Amino acid sequence: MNTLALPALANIPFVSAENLQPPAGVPTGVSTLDNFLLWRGVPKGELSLFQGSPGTGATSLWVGMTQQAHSQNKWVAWVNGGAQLLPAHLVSRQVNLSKLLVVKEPREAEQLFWILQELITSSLFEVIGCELKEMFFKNHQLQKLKKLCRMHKVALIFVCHKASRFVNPLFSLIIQFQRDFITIQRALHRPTPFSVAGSTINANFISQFKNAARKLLG
Amino acid sequence: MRTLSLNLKTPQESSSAEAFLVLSPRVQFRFPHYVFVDIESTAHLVGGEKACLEKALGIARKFSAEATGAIADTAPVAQMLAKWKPSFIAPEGQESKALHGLGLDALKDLEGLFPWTQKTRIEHVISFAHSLGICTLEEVYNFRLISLRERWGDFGVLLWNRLHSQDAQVISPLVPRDPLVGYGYLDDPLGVASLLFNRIKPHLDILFARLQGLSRFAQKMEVILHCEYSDKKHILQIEPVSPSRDQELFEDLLFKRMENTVLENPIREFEISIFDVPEKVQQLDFFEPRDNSEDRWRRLISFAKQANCEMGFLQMEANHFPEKSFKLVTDWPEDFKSEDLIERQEDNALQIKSTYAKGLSQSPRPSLLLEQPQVLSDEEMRRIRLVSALPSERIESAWWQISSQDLKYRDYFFALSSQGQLLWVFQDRVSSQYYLHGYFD
Repeated sequence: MNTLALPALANIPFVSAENLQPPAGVPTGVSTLDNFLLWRGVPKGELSLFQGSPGTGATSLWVGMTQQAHSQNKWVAWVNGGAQLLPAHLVSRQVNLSKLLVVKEPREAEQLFWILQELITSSLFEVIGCELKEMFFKNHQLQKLKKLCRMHKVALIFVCHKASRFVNPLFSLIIQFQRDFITIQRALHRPTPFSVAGSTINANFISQFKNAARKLLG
Repeated sequence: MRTLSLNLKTPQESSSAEAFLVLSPRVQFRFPHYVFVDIESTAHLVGGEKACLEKALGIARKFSAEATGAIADTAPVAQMLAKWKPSFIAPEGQESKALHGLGLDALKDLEGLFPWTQKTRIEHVISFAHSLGICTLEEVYNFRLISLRERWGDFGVLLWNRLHSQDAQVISPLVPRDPLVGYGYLDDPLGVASLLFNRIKPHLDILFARLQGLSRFAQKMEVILHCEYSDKKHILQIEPVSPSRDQELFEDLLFKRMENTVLENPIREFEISIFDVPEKVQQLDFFEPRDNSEDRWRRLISFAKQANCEMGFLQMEANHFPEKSFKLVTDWPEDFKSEDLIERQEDNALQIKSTYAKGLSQSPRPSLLLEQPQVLSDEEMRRIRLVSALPSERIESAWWQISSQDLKYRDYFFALSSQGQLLWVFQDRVSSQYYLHGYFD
């Protein structure tokens, strides 16, 4: 019994509760999501994937994060893919255009990979969003991006318009959007899949529609 | 070599020499509380030796209220004068005149950068001189080198050299290595913010004097207050919007933070650390590291330009056609005000210049806009459902712009697809063809 290879109780380092902190994240501004996720938002220094056909609310969540990052005086970047961000919408949601760098859709996939690396290594941005028609990055490319994100503490988010059933473990957070509800397919230390009502994200559109209705009614 | 010597009176850390780098790069600290500055080539930059001495004393008083200083040709004499004739400036090349009226005890301070190896030997010299009936330094000065060497050997030679400005002690340039940290231990733990702040302030004075000497800015200050009981500590982080050396600002922010901290558990120790950044200076060399974020983003944009990839900020334009209402600019975008301009002209007449896109900020706009409107076939139209029978918005161009634009009569609708997508669709009023123009994503 004396040779039992267990450390003495006194030698075990004790971590007090106030020294425990969740890993860093960028809040999304949607309290249901922020409370559910371990990072209290989208993880910093990791890859995230928002997937769903266009018009189901993925960009909306990204704009919410931009708003939160801007309120902390941080910069945000966005890479267009297929469609482009419309500033009239961003302004209506109080996004500061002078802290949002927009990159036009690159011609080749290789160039997009290069641009993302440049954006991350410039360490100017807190959040980088990248819109994709479909996920064409190879795993080794994603691994490299993930490594750079780790080094520079950047949250890189792919907004992919083609949903895939495959849960790629390289992404720390995968959210699937269907306008009526959104499903968190993968998240650290959380029971997944987990569904949230879509109205939590899309609620902000309703005021716009109300305005339009009022205009129509004169 | 003109040397300024400071006697700080209370024991200090070697890093305190950094505060005097404003006077000259050649600064040296000697334990326990002496600082030597070579002002030979830099005194004129400060405004002469007198101004230099005053400035040095001003800095030295942050370390100790009783600090004294003096200037002489060599470090040993300067140190001696700092103690026995405070604020004295010995005339250049005639150091011996400064010795006038000094007693023999002053010999104990004739050390400079290298202290006497044994105090007993210099005390022996003094008692021997007393036994000869010699009481002033001038008389010792008149001894010949041979007689001193005969009695005290190498020590006698060193004494003679120091008295006759022959002991060359070179002050090397100071390379700052110590971190900007302060630490204090309170014998009586304090639980009142104002009292505690008064104990922290002298440490802040010293740290900011060092920052001044290093010509660096403080980006962040972290004060850790260790409580008396149960190992609890308060971590106060002060980070102003931009890095600066404004001590008042940092003190003000710290005090306000301390006032909001519950100090029922009194404070026994405190640690201060300052995270410094270089001063913002003009970029002199292309190969210098670029810390400025504006520089970094300019570099990013120039890289993108080389690769034929467009990158920039969104600048809103006064145009009611959504695809023309913005462009990418590489300079900082200007604030767009969608308001009518009212111009006052002479004789109190008013002219109102209306802005086309006035209603833009209120009207619903999708987050994603297609670069080219996409034609919706009948099959696709069957799969989507328009939310309202009446259009939500009508966008037209003026009759005089006919040739410049096709698709100029548009009725916009919201539409839902079978997959739950919310779309922005318009109908061209000329051809009745439906187009997809954006996504409320």
